[in-house]
Amino acid sequence: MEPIIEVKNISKNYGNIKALENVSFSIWPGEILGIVGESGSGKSTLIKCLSGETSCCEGEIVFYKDNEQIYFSMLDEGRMHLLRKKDIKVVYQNPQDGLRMKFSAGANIAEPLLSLGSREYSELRDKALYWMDRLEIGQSRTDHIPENFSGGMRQRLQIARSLVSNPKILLMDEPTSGLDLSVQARLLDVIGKLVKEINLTVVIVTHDLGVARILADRLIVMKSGKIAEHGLTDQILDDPGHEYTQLLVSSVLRA
Amino acid sequence: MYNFAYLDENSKKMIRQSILKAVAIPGFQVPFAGREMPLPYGWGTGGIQLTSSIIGPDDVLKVIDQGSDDTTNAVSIRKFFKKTADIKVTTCTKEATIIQTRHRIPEQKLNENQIVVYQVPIPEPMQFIEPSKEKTEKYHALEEYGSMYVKIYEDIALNSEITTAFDYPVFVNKRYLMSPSPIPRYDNPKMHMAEFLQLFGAGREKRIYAVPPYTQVKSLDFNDYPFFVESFDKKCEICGSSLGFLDEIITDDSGTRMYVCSDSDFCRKNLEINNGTNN
Repeated sequence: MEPIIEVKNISKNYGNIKALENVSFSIWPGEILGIVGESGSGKSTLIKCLSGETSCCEGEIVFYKDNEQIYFSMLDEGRMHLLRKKDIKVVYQNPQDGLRMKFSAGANIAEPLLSLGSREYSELRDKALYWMDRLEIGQSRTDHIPENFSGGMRQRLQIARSLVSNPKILLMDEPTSGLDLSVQARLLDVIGKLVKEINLTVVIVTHDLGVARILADRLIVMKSGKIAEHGLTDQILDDPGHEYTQLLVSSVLRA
Repeated sequence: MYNFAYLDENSKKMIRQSILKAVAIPGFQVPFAGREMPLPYGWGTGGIQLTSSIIGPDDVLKVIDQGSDDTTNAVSIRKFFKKTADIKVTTCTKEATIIQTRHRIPEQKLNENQIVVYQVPIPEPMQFIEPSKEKTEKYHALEEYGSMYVKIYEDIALNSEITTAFDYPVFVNKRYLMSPSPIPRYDNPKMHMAEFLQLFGAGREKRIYAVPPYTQVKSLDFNDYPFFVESFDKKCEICGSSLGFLDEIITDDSGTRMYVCSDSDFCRKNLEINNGTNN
């Protein structure tokens, strides 16, 4: 089987700060890959590199699309934009970073389709209603603006907006932080169901090991810009090998 | 006392260079080093700089504001060029070689020997959706106009039709999205394949853009909600014509309304023809 994304030895520096150092791994189609680690460990930088938002200083990211290999370092801005528009979508920690807060929920869902050239209002409307329903926001809220939505609803709207263009891979940066536990659970439930149904590949960055355990098939543990450990989620959380992972697992509060 | 048409020749040269670039890339906003003019921003400083740069001693200038030759803005700008360039001015659309306008395109069909100079307050059509200039410039570069359609999607979702009535965005030459300046959308079709050169000047924002003659200008719409212009079931109460764009004027405190042609030259000509036949 071919991976969907192959990360080969990437490094990223911000001045003297080494945010990522020689990171390599593959993402396989249909899986949910969790990336955990403390703040400052390079999780968000990794997501930015994967989404093409920033370029890495060294190494290469290869995206496999329909028997074609796309090398990130060889894409110009326009082609990278196209890739981000269609195939690689990001769900931000703060929904307002990924939404137009002053435009209706329906318009937010319609925009990616409009960017891709859809010019039929009725089709856009149908898709908007469909995704409002699918993410359990409720069709009756389609014409309301996200400013009047709760945090959980905003986050689900952001996911709806990301999925409407039928992307290959969804990158989520701490999608559940800032939400209360019951809302988190519902969001995780929705994401879990969707991934199975539409054969989506997801990378989820989180500092919450509970979220990682529920959703992720595989885990990557980051520490100081490097991969400390990676493997199957259960294996890592039940039998952590690296001392940092042991610390991380043992510091989770038991309910 | 003044250099011909107020601006010094070096400034004119710089503006003409920007105009040439604008004509070469239809609909693209060309930055230029806008000069201070002896009137405030928002009163047509962009339009005046354009007119000043292209006008010659043989030109005949017409200035309209909301279609009318008689409003303060139009009268002042006409006087300004009369004084600084000593050129012939007119209110007759047919006679003019340069027409500087705010908010209208004349009803009279214009020809290849005429130039329309538009005064533009906000040159960036996407500004209300994306306030960051850095981003909108990138959107233009990448031909990323999805966000503009968001506006008309929402118009239809909330009001069942596209309600944008003026400054209705257009695609120029199948490439750049452009603000036609705050003309009513009634005037948009006049820009398409027009025989005359159209120049747009935004003084405060320091941008010039242009639509050369015989260029495609398409108003934004959806396949199932095509662009349309308003129609009036009223007639002008002065000249009796139903062919022009009508202004609604409230004439007393109890809300009595009067409809008259917004294009004052068009109205006057109609009246002359009517009076001629009556006699």
